[in-house]
Amino acid sequence: MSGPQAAVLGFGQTRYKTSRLDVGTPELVFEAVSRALADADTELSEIDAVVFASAPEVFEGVYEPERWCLDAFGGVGKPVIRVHTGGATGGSGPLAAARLISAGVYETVLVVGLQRTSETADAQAVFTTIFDPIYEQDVQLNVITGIALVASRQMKYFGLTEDHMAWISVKNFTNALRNPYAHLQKTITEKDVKESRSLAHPLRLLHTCPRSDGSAAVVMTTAAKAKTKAHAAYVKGLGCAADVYRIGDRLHDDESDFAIPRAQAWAATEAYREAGITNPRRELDVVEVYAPFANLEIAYYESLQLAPHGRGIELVETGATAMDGDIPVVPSGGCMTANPIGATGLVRFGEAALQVMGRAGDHQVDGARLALATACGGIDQFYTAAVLAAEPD
Amino acid sequence: MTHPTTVPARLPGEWRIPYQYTIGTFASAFFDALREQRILGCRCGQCGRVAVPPKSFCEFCFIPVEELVEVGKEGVIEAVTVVTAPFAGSPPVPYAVAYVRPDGATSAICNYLQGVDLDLEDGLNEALRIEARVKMVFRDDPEGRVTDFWFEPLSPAQ
Ligand SMILES: [Zn+2]
Repeated sequence: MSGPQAAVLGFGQTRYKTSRLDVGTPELVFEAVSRALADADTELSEIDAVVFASAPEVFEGVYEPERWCLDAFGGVGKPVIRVHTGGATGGSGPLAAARLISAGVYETVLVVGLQRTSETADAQAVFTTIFDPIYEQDVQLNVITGIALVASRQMKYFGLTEDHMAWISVKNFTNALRNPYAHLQKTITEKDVKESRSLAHPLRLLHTCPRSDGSAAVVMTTAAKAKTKAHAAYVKGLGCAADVYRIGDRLHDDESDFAIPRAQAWAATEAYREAGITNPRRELDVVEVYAPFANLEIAYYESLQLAPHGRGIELVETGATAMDGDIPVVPSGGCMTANPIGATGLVRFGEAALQVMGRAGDHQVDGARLALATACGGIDQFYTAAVLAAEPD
Repeated sequence: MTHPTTVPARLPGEWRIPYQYTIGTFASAFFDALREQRILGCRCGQCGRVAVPPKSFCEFCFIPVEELVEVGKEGVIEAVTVVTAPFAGSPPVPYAVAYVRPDGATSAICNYLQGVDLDLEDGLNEALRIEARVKMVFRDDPEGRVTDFWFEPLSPAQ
């Protein structure tokens, strides 16, 4: 797009846990924002606007959390914009900020993500409330059921097996051992995965994600300003897309197979076009995909054009997406090992920025220059994709 | 000098907000038909797609849809799962949920799938496979909710 290129100056995140009992919700946000500003070597007075990304607030139990947390993210006297695209919210936040920067509206924008999933006892009861009350809530649809239905089609049509899902779980849990912010830090085996508790066939406990409390923030600005700072990641391409509401309306023809989310493909195609990427598998160095379930990561390999249609399992069978593979996916451990839902997309974005800055610590992919970060929300309905680069255009 | 307590507390709270969801004439017609043991969809006058359950517009053509049509009381499973871990408000586990495309429809509708052995010891029951045919079964005492019907295997496969 025309206008100034956007860049990421810094990233702050909290240690993800089931419950951060030591801080109230605004205090949790303050922790992430303070860290992001320090990491970006930026004063709050330099922030021209704030994009607040949190959803769904049924988890916090306080409607309009942007109001509650405003002081804690330094919003007093500044333009504040809230974005809300379900689980993709944390991916939509930095997209909105980058577009505002490239449009010349604001020079420096703070993006803040928040989720406290531990405030209520039953996450799936919360998720039931995001479904249509006329036809779907009575059937008790929720996220686990919805993703199990996706898996049923992957198994029927695209060769997915329990072995493939177990490999993904072990890969991501192993990666998380090198990420000090990850919620789950434990060594697991494929046997552990296959023997873990069944939730909704074929999904088991170790195919899914934890419920995490957490907040994350990034500071974004123009590439020109970023060049004056010690480190930055540059926004090369962005995309986002949404699909029809009803799952049953996404099952009706060849173009739309619920098993391979087409809206993620639409979002990625747009981001690759902007970034000038023609062969994502070869050109990208690392991918931070928002996949809270093992089967979804494999579906996204196809949506993101890392594997041909229906051949996502090949990246598992060849080990290509492991840390030592040619296209590591979620070196941070990803959302299977920490999932502060509405903030998770921002964590993927921040982790991708750290990778191309060479600042990802023990889970750094050697020599990463081009990274992709994604987010998904609303049972495969909202998607984002962002390509970040080590160098400005 | 006083420092914060090291034993943080939590305060109990609850959202309890009753609603009356407005469903419109198309959904109302769907539930009326359910009482008569019929399944209604809608046909787009332009693209011909038949969506179940019906709604008063076609998102593909982005035009109003006027025609309600009856679809088959049998169909094929498009996606299916057996839920084995209970959550607040869930029916007793295990239970099966499926998206089924009724004969004559171009979309699928979600509901419980009953009349099948749900023991997962030997994997998913054959009657629960995608593309298996099922029939709609209707409650004798309809309540005007989507649970007035459910799916069962066309030929009991126990
Ligand atoms: Zn139409």
